[in-house]
This record gives sequence, C-alpha cells and structure tokens, in this order.
Amino acid sequence: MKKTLTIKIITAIAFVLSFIMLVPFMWMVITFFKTPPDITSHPLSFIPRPFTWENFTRVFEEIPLSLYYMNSALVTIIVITTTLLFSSMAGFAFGKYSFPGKEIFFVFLLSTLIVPFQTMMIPLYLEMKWLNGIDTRWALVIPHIASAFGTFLIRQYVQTVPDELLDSARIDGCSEFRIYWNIVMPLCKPALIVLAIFGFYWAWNDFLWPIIIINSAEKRTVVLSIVTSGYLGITSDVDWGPLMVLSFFVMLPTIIFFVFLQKYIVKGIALTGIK
Amino acid sequence: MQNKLNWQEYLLLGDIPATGDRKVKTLSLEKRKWIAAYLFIIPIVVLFTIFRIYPAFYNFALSFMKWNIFKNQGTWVGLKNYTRLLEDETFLTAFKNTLLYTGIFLPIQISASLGIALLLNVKFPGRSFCRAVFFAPYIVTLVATSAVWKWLYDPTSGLINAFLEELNLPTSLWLLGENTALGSVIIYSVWQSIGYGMIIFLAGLQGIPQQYYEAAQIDGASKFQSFLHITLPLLVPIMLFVLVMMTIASFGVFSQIYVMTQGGPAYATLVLVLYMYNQAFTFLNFGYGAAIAVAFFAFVLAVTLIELKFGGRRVISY
Repeated sequence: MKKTLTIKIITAIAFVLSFIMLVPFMWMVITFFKTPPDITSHPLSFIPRPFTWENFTRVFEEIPLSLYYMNSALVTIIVITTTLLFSSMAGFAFGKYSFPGKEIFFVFLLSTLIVPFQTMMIPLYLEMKWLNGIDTRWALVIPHIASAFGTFLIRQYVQTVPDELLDSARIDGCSEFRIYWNIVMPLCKPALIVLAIFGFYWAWNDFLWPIIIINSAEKRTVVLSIVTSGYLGITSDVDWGPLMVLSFFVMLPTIIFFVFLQKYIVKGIALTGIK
Repeated sequence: MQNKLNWQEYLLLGDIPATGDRKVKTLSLEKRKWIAAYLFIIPIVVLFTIFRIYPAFYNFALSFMKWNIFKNQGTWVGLKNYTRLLEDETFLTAFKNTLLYTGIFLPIQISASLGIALLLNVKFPGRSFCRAVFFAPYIVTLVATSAVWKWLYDPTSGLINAFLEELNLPTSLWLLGENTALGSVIIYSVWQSIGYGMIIFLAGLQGIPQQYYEAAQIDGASKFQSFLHITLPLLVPIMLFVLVMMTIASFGVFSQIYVMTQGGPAYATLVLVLYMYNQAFTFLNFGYGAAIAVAFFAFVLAVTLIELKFGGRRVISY
C-alpha cells in the first residue's frame, strides 16, 4: 500500500517536471499561429486569436529555407561519410594489427581530444585562407572530417571480433582491405550507426565554425539562418512569430532523428560519454 | 571475382588482382599486415596533422605575433599580447564572467541531473517518455532553443514574466538586466544539458549491483542510508566524468550567449570564447585572439587536472 503511494507521487513529480521541460517547445508552437498584436498582448493568450499562418508564409517568403537545408544536408552527408570511412579504417587498424609505432600514433590521435576546438579556430581560419577555403562549403566539413573519438569507438568494437575469423579469411586469400570492408565492418554496424548519428549532430548543429567561415548568403547553413534572418533583433525589435517558425525548421531534423533513433543515441552516449 | 579490382584494393595492393599478386606474396605476412595497417591509418593521421595538430601548435606561435591582414603574415612581438591581456579590463571581465558562469552552472547542473536520474531510475508507467523529454533539449539544435528561450525571457511579453505576474510575483528584466543576464543564460544551459548528465548517471546507476542494496536492507539500513553509503560513493567516478565534461563545455560557452545577449548588457555576459571571437573576427586581432585562446586552454586544462586529481582520490571500488 505504502509502496504504490510512493510510486504515484514519483510519477506525478516526474510528469510535472517533464511538462515544465516541454513548456519552451509548446510556447514555440503556440507562437507559430499568433498575429503580432496577439504576440505582445497583455495578458497572454494561450490560444492564438485570430489564428494565422502568416508567420509561416513570411518565413517561406523571406528565408531561402530549401537552399539552406541543401547546404546543411550536403555538409552533414559528407561529414558522416568521411568520419565513418576514416575513423573505421583507423579504428580497425588500431584494433586488429600490431605494427611499429602503433602506440605513438594512437596517443597522437587521442591527444587531440583534450584540445577544445576554440583554441585552434583562429589558426584554422588562417589555414583556410591559405587554402582558399574562406566562404566555401567544403571548409564547413573540415572540423568534423574525421573523428578521434570515432576511431576509439570503432577500435573498442573491432577488438570484440575474433582473430580466427580474420585469419581464416586470410587463408582463403582475402585481401586486408576485403577483411576490413566485407568481414569486420558488417560486424561493427552498431558502432557505425552510433558514430553516424554523432556525425549528424556534430555537422548539423555546428554554429561557431560556420559563422566564422561563411559570408555569402547562398552558402549559409540552416543553423546560421537564425542569426542572419534579422528576426533576432538586437534588443527590442524582435520578430517573435517568424523567429519561432524558423527555429522550428532549424531543429526539425534533429527532432526527427531523435524520435526514430532514440535508442541508439541514448546507448551511444551512455557507452561513450561523448556528446 | 578475382578480376574485379576496386579502387580500394588498388590502393592497398597495387595494380594486380589481390589473390594472384606475386609482389604481395613475396612479402612476409607480417610485413603485409604492417603495410595494410599504415595504409588504414594514413588518412586520419594526415588529416589530423593538417587540421588539428598544426593549428593547435600554430595557435601558440600566433599568440606571440601581430597579424597583418593585408600581407597575410605575422610579425613577432614577443610577450606583447600577453602583457596586454593582463591590462585589458574587458578580458578580465570576460574571464570573471566565464568563471562565474562555470562556478554556478556546474553544481546546479550536476545535482539536478543526478536528481532527475534518481527519480527516473524508479520504475513507473511512462518512465521512458519522461526520460525522452528530459533528454530532448540536449539533442535539439542549441541555437534554435536559445532563440526560443530568448522569447520566453522577453521582459514585456515573454511567457516567464507573464507567469510571474499571474502569481503576483516580482518580474525581472532577465536577459536585459545587468544583474540577471548571466543567471538567465545559466538557467537555459541547465535546461539544455540536464539530459546529458541524466543519461550518464542512469547508466551508472544501472551498473550498481542489486545485491549491495539487498545486503544493506538485511542489515537494517534505511533507503536514505543506502543512498548515502552505497549509491553516492559508487557514483563518484561517474560524477567526476560528468564534471570534467561539463567543465570543458561550460568554459567554452558561446552559441547561447551569441544568440541571446551578444555579451551584453554592458559586458554582463561577455565570456572568454565570445571575446576571443570578437577580437579575432570582428577586430581582426588574430594574434591577440590567439593569446586569449592560450589563456583559455591553459585554464581549462588546469581546472580539469585539479578536478581529476582531487576527484580521483575519492574514487572507491568495492
């Protein structure tokens, strides 16, 4: 009797707190459908009156969203591809081969994890200048092109694959690359999926690097559109309606990913602790 | 099959089909493995040398230079950038704000996410839904949720002040008030990152063997005593981990501040990375920006090492 009561209280607390966590998202949705006078009305109305789609039409007219989506998608796809390829190749080598200098190379890679991106962004910008990368889409890929963390993740996973499997493949005349590509990688699928999801979030949500590198309007990523839209006024003249619609479209892919891949995301973070 | 030479095999084994390759066969198996391993790690080693290691070291060199943007080269100025740091009051403000932000954010974030993890470790209907809700803000684009919170914080028509008015509580200027702006950003950041800590703590809680609790119960320990003497000590390594990860993240805070306050009002939310960004990319003082980056890195490293040293002592294994 006593136990069911505590469970009930815990359930109630958990749901009230969850509701509070969701308030910002709900308020964003309510604001979608409000007219400017309704947005600033006193006291606040919780049901948009009159109901309007004007904020949506304004965003679609004023912001080239499909272009920005294309830019972000391009960067994200390249990042996922290169990160998976380079990290899995290196992870496989570190997990399954012994070669001179292995420890040194591994420490070399992992040591980059302790240096925050902020401490190298200025030289990286100057480097992009030499490489004619300023204001180009390919430069957006650079900070995420390969991942030391991913290498580590794949290495840990590869080590669970029995050596006998690799040796028997060698006896059958399988090349080392075939062993990697056709035998080991299919067995590493869970780790690769986790890394792909991380790659998606790194690339899609990146803000600091794109804002440094990109000047031209047509090369902006979706995330940049929030600060370049003009909806986010300096102090008072903020266009809340369109800003909320735009914010929604910026976060939409991350929400969709989360809904469908929640299990992998949570498992990946719990296992690795990386964000 | 043997003739189907794809570019990857070509790269690894040369211009001959893999199985019939004479050159490869004359190499011992061990040498062949070495070569394969090096070829596997070459791409990432090269990329990291160019885009991570080199910039990290170059940043250090750059901090002793004055950068000429027209000639696109630097001239050595010795310690000038560093002496300037110590005299620059704006830098000291940014440093102080970053410390304040981290100092307030960390204890709240860690205790809140631990509390939520304990709450959501209890089995009840709808638990996985609640977990997803707490985790969601962490995974959703930070820049977008910052914009949403800017709207919630709006002093005249934002939801938070409207709610406070409704309850006849005093309202606040939030992001626009000099004394409240940094605190407002901290509240947002806790909301944003609580799910990260929760996930790690939940994984840690699940790793504690149930027998410990059963044994404690037999010995007559109360729920609170079990928490204090079993759960908490065993969670110390995980807390340390969350602490280190969050320290690095909160010292590097940038995006939410860029969106919500731009460092204002009157430098009240100016933090190190924002100041570094402004110096380098608004005023084009690359050398000075690099010096700020060195100070930033040295500080993050020092704090992390201190945390690990003192925290490491408290790690207990049963």
